[in-house]
Amino acid sequence: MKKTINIKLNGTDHSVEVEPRKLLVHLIREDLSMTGTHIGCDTTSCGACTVLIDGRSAKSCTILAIQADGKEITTVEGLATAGGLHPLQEGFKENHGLQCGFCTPGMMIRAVELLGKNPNPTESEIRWGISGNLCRCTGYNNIVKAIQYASAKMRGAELPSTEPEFV
Amino acid sequence: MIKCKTSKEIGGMGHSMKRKEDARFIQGHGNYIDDIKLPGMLYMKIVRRPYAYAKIKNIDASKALAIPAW
Ligand code: FES
Ligand code: FES
Repeated sequence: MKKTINIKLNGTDHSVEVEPRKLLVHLIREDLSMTGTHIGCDTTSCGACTVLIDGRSAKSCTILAIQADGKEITTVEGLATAGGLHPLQEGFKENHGLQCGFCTPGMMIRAVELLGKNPNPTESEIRWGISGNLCRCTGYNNIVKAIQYASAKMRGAELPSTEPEFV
Repeated sequence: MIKCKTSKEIGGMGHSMKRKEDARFIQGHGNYIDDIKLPGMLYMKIVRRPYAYAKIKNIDASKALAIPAW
């Protein structure tokens, strides 16, 4: 038995019929064709599917679409504005925070909530904050640097160097 | 920390170069295999043999073929 739900995805209202068993990530990727949100595991391990639901980050492979009824969802496609890239997007780009880019949307969305709650996190707070997100290729150092860069940018502080360190 | 002695302009030796593909990845337009939809696409499942070492004499696919695929 299908149920009609209303969600706002990246600012656009949608009314969709879904089966109660459909996962939110499938609704976003298949029904609404926004494929920036990825499925890395389907079992709440990797965080590639992380989206914002009413401003809180959540793994959309672990939430049913019907649970998102009436909610506002933001995915990676909703980060940039007419004014340009989101500071996190800029941070990842400037700091070589991605290689294959598969984990990146989830990392950035997770970091949006992290920086919203804690605008100036320490390195260990960042590492703890993204501990639900796995990256299999870049390694976490540059991801941490990317988030530190975005934090500085969003606070209007001096931007950290984006030069790699040779040790 | 070692300071680079060359300039980026001479070819980037000892420097990281900005990548061209990042713009689409960070905006969710990567187009990975799972993002591609083509007409008539089917699902595939690999059925592995239940024995570690054996000779395949024949494959009976009748049950699989009986499932409506699209
Ligand atoms: S796909 Fe949701 S956590 Fe991996
Ligand atoms: S950039 Fe490839 S998994 Fe993180």
